[in-house]
Amino acid sequence: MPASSNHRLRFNRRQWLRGVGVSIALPVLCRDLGGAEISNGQQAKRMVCVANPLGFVAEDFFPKEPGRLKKQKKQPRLLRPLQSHQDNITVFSNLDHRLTGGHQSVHAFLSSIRDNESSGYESRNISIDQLAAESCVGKVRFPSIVASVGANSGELECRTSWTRNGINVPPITEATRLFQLLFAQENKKERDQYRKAVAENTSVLDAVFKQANDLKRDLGANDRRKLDEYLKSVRSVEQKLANADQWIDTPKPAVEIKEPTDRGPFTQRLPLFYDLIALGLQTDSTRVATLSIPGNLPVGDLGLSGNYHAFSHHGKTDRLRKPLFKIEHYQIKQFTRFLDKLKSTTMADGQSLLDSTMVLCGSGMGNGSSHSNKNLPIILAGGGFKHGNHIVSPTESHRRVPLSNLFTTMLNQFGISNIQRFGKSTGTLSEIQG
Amino acid sequence: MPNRFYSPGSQSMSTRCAFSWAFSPSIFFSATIAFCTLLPGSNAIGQSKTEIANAARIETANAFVQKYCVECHGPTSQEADRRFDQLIEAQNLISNQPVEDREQWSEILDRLNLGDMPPADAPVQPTADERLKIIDLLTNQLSQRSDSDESKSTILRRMNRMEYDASVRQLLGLEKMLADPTSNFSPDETNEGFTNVGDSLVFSDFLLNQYLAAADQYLTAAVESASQSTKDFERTFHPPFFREGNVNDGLNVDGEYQHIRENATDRGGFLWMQKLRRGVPSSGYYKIRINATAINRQHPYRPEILNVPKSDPLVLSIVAANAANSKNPTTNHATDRTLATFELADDSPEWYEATVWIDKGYLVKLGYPNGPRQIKFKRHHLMRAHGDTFPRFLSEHCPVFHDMHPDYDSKTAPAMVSKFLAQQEALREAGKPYAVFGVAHLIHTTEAWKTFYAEYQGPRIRVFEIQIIGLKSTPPTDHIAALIDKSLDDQKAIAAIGTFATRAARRPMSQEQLKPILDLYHSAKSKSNPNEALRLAFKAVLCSPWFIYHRNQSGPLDNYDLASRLSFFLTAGPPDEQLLKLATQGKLSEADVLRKETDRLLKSEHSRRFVSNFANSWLKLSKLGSMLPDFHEHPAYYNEQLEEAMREETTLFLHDAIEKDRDIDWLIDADQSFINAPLARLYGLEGVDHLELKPFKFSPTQQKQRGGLLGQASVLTASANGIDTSPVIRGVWVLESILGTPPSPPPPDIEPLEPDTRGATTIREQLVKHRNVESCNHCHRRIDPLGFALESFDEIGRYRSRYLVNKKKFVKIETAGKLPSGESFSDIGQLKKVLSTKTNLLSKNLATKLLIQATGRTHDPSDAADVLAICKLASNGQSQSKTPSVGIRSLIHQVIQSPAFRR
Repeated sequence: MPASSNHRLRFNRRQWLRGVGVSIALPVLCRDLGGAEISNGQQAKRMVCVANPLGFVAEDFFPKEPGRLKKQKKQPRLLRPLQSHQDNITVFSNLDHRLTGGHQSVHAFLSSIRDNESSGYESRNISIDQLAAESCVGKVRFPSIVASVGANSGELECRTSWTRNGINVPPITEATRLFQLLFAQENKKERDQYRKAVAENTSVLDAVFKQANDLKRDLGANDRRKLDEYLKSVRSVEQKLANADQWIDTPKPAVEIKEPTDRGPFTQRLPLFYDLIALGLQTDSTRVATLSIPGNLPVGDLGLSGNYHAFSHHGKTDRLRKPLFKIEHYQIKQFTRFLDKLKSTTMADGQSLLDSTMVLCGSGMGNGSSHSNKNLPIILAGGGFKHGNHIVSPTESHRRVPLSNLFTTMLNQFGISNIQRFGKSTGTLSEIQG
Repeated sequence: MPNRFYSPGSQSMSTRCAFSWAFSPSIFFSATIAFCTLLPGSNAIGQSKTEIANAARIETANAFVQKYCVECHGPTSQEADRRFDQLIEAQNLISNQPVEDREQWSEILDRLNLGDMPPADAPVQPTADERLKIIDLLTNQLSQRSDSDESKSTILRRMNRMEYDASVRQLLGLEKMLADPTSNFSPDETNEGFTNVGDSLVFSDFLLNQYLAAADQYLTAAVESASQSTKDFERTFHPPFFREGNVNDGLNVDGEYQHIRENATDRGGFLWMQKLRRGVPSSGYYKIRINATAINRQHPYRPEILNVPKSDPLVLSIVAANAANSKNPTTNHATDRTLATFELADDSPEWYEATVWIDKGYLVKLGYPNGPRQIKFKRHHLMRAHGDTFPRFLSEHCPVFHDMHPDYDSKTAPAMVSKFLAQQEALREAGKPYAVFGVAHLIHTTEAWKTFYAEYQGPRIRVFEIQIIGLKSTPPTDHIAALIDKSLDDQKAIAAIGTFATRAARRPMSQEQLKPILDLYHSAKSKSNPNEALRLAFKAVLCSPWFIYHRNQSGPLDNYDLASRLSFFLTAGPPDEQLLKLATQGKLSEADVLRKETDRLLKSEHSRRFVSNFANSWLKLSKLGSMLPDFHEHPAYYNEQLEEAMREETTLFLHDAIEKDRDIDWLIDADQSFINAPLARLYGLEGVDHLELKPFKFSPTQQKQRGGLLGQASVLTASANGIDTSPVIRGVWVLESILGTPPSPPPPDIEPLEPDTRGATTIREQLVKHRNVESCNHCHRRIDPLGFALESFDEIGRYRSRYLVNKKKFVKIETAGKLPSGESFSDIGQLKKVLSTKTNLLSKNLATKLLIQATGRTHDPSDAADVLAICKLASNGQSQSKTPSVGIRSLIHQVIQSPAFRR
């Protein structure tokens, strides 16, 4: 990488400190480019979650019959692009989080718990990706990458990733930023400045920690509990600064891709994000990534006039369902392209990257037209699961299977075996375990 | 749209649902028997008068519930999961009953006030007199705090993003700074729409990282503005102001003038000064003078093509943009800040002038915020409708076989197209220039655009000259000046730290409390220099718990806490010097001083922040802008800045209601509001031609539709989703925001209605089916009728009498409804009459919400009692059972004077 411009210099330093979209972790001593790290005789596991805020139209998405995907009489039209991956994917029917509230519950897609009910849970509304990321701390530079193809706001915002403290992880919304974070090398001056900033912040944190401890003595029990949040946060940032300090001199992997721009249309940016995520996984810069498709995606770039959200209120009319299908179909096509890419990437152990990467694609919205959060559209690909089926769970309310059961299964497969229950799960899904 | 909607704050309801399960039926025995034994006997044992009176109260309340409620909410049937038979076994005063029981009583009171219980079809009904008496009794009982209650104070609560920003700015004298260092903060956690609730606000490592980074930015800005001066800056700019980007205007004359012809949200919408590409050299106040005029306001085109009303003057805006982020200043950017706007005179160049603050490195550009959008896409339409006014463009650049041409003939065109394409193919093969984009090639050349814009007679802003003159800045305060003081010594530095930390903590700090910061200063100084060490100490202060948290001690509020609470409540910012002075003197806690300060703050300019924040939470106006209406359906929403006007209307309306101490009924039905021309067009009002919002008096017919909050477009847009409306969402909105009696969230197993807009049934017909399901009917018979009345407003609050189905077919909207209380109405006007009889619920709701905004806590039983007391005091002790007159300002005063405010 050439020495960076002033613009990038500023970016890098602040980006580190703010931790937008990423968390910083301990380095490992040495990694080969493209090599899957083998530890404890176990191959590294990876996880990618892709989400949109408006779902997929059920009759275009779900196969009619349970069982082998290949044996379906008629492929639902949204699954047709995935034809070549039928053995690598599983499609689920009737999984959800038993939530209501339409748009206001979509943010619970990866956690099963709404932010306003999270105080009742010990690990709040932590999302599956962030839980997986916790186990990657110290193993890779970025325990997780959280990205969204373009900025978003309001109720259609994709708030997909949540930490153990119930904090929404703000996504990286520009491909340029993501590239710089993953692959741009800092020069010596930048590294020195960054080191100075780390030292400065460490001393500031030291002072405020002492103040908070003094303060604590005079507080009642409830207030102390609240102040503990502060003390814990100070400790956590100190730790991250210490860890980051050690990464400063570890060079980032060199990749054969030019620094992208964000000026292109959506149809260029979505594939770009997928490519960068694939490279991030391939170079073992990260093992967990989450990608959101925003609800305000510029439909003009797909040759449509109108707005994605308006189309999703189709009320069964063709006038709106046609453009909606085009947007949904495009998303599935790009998802397929991403799977192609993972499949064709061979890692050091001879396996394809898809074999070690579980990829979830879906939404917290089951039916955008009726604002139902039931029967969420879910595809799971790769990751070493037993695939090839359409798994239909019971519909009766007392026998419904929580989507979190799938998430628990995924976390177990990821290597987090001490998780018995994730979110509102009641067990695991044995159907996909090989 | 039958969206199943409930607020995130349905907590209160879930507790109410939960209580009925907590009782065991086995302990039930007849309440009547219990009373027979209690009453006659107790008299004889010689109790005091009070005790006798209390016993009578207990009996009245219990007997009422036994007679009218227990049949459906008792041992045999627990409708809506409520059961009251065990409740009335209690033999002590309601005010002394446990919290859960008081919550049940409180719900009974709400429903009696609402008038929908007992339901209209119940066999036995209380008389009007009975009803009034029991309401009075319960209100009195419930407004007394229980002796056994621990009065809980607000939990240690961090500042939210807005409070933090306002506080740092005040500390560092950066009130006017354009940059927003908090722009990438994670959004604050909300609770019932409020962003200041202590229990919900979380402190996290993410946030701490953001504080560290933001502190650097604020301090850098403070140092910059202290060390630089703007007073020698003076520049004059002449056309052409810029030569890059979209400059093919065709009418520009170098040395004379340059035009702005498009909306600033368009690519290439802004005029900027290339010579000021890097922005102004230092932060401070500047005078900006612009010589400009509007031309072509009365353009010759059909109104629906450009979609800008000819009656509105053209608006010129001065916008500042961060030069570092502005690769292309002609296009808008997230960091843009509008500094001033002017309504321009037509066809007469005049000077327009504003004094504004500009950050170092921000450039200045000019926009036309109410200009037409995307003119280039309107070319087709213009040629078809007004081809005769574009003779040169059509003859030189548009072939007759392009379907844009007015003489285009679909019969002959295909042959001509084939011939043209064959010619171009031949040119290509011969290696000569050819039309790369086929038929459309010719109309997209630079020359074609220039010719088009030269002939285009749409409205434009013509700018002749721009001057930017730096003004003398006021010297920084001592503790800021210390940051750049070359002769800074330890003594001065320590003094500066003391002042800064004390101001930051909003209370005096002891030496011991300051010690960690002073230690930081000393150790940093040994490694760098005193100024740098001082900056680091300030940075620590900005991240310190003394600054970040609202109160740093448990127990009742002292004078300093009171100053902060009052100030953050009424100005959304930290206390000013006067409040702190009164706190130091120990006077602020005196009732009349507090009242005087309340009046002073309500008059201050920052009280607007309080009103708009409060409206965002209470009326859920924060939803505005989160689900935008369709651009093609509602161009006015965008072209005429309707969203801004909607917010402004409600803010001004509430501000005025507070200022004039209007009766609470004003919120439901008022004969005036604040209107500008775009709102007047949306509302169908005549005679408004100004863009500024001004008081407008409704005629009686207009008042029926638009008087009060329910007729305001802000509320109607926020309670829709940009695409369509739902009687359910709007009905829930009325129950929550007006009456304060939210319905329970829908049961999780019910599938929401799937709308079918192919024309078969209306939403009303679909909801009728829904209400046939018993578990749905409980709530929907309360929700839906309220929403039906509001169906006469579309998703941006425009009045309508029918739905458009399937492009052609219309269906008449039926707005009539009947409430469970038996009251019925035919339309919004009559609904407001019904609601006007329930203002005691509105007062209680408003007081509750004000108290949340003030204290940052929700659902505290002592608060619930205080709220009833507040309402009683605000109504001058009139009986709660009628619809007492409650002044809105008086209500705010009572909230501030209440014991709840000091917890």
